[in-house]
Amino acid sequence: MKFYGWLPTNRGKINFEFIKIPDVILPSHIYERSISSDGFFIRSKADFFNDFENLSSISKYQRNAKEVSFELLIQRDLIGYVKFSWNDGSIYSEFIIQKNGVVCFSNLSINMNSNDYDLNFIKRIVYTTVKIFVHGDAHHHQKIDITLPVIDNEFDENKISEGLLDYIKRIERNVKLNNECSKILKNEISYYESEGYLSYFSTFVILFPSRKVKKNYQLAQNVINSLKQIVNKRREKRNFGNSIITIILTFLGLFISINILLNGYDGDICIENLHKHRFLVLGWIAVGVILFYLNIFYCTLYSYIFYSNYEMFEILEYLKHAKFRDLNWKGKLIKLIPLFLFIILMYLLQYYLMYLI
Amino acid sequence: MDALFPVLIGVVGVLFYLSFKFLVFTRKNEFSEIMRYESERCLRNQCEVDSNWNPHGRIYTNGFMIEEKNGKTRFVKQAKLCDLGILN
Repeated sequence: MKFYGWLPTNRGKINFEFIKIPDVILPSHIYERSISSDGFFIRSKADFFNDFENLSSISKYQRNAKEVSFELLIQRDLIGYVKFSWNDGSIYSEFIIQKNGVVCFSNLSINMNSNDYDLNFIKRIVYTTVKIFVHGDAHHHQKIDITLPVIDNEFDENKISEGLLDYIKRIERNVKLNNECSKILKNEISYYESEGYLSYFSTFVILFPSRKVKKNYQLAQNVINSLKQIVNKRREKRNFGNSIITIILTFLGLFISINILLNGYDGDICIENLHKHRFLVLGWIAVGVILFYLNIFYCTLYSYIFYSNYEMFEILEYLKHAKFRDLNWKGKLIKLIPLFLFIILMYLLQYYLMYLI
Repeated sequence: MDALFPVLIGVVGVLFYLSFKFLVFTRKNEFSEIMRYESERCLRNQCEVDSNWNPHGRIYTNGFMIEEKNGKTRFVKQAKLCDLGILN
């Protein structure tokens, strides 16, 4: 049984030198590796697929997952094999990578004591493993994804181009649907990601210049143009809103300055009762201004977390929506942080008010 | 020290507001409903999916897990909702 996929290349030629260990594989999880002029071999824990441990650390429900390791060998002539294994089973497949990026998998064997699996999914796992070593996933926010289809029996460039087009359309759709402030950075960068993705599509057209592939490429360009307009429009609106806020704050500053200039500075308050007059008012103005800017700060911070520390964002999202009983002590503790903060706030307020009286 | 109190309250207020925004306030929209369902699936069932699972038109990442249940090894297909991954 043979199946095919395409390893994205913008150079138009896959070279052995391009192969490297991706960032998603932790150095501490590598059991064995050798990179020489003859070939590339790695044996490691397959934690780049089993990426769900971050949620199990806050969940009450734990499963006894078996540790899965994998081996990957790619010889200099781009022939090799990939093997996933656990204590009583394995998945194995051989592959040949052509210079134009087409990869042909053969001799897929699945050694398990049950038939409870999805064969297509296993094919995707095998393909993606080879892809992340040969191609890397620099344009994608999520490191483990399967953007391109796996095709049985015979390589079909039209199906691959459909996959490329669909992926670009998905980026555009996500940007259109998500106009939340937490996605600002993500949405802005999505445009550049899609441009990068298009460069691979462009190479694909050069390598496989069929009529349908060319048509799909043009459609992808149109989708990206639409995406660009959405991103630009939102940026303009945001800039306009920010300029209004700046104008208001400038007027406020001028008003206070002119008031002090015309009426003089009230300097007859002695140091003992400062807190009952000026600092009380100034303090609350400070709090008001902080709260005024908080939403902008929140958006920026949340955007940054979403883009740069996606795992953290994910845990926060799950914590937000999870029921209390589904969390372990660690999850419960984190979910209760707002309550603790509320108690501290109330205590400080009480102390401050008593101090004023 | 007196002058620090309003600032202190301001800082605590900021933390309070942020933590509430992150962890407690859930806007009642379609996404929050989906995420409520998704959080249960991921926390209780390790994000396992079957053919009946509906990604609600969103895109997800894939993973897999091997577990032993009743003496049989099971290949558990996992999926997580996220902003950008791939749908298949």
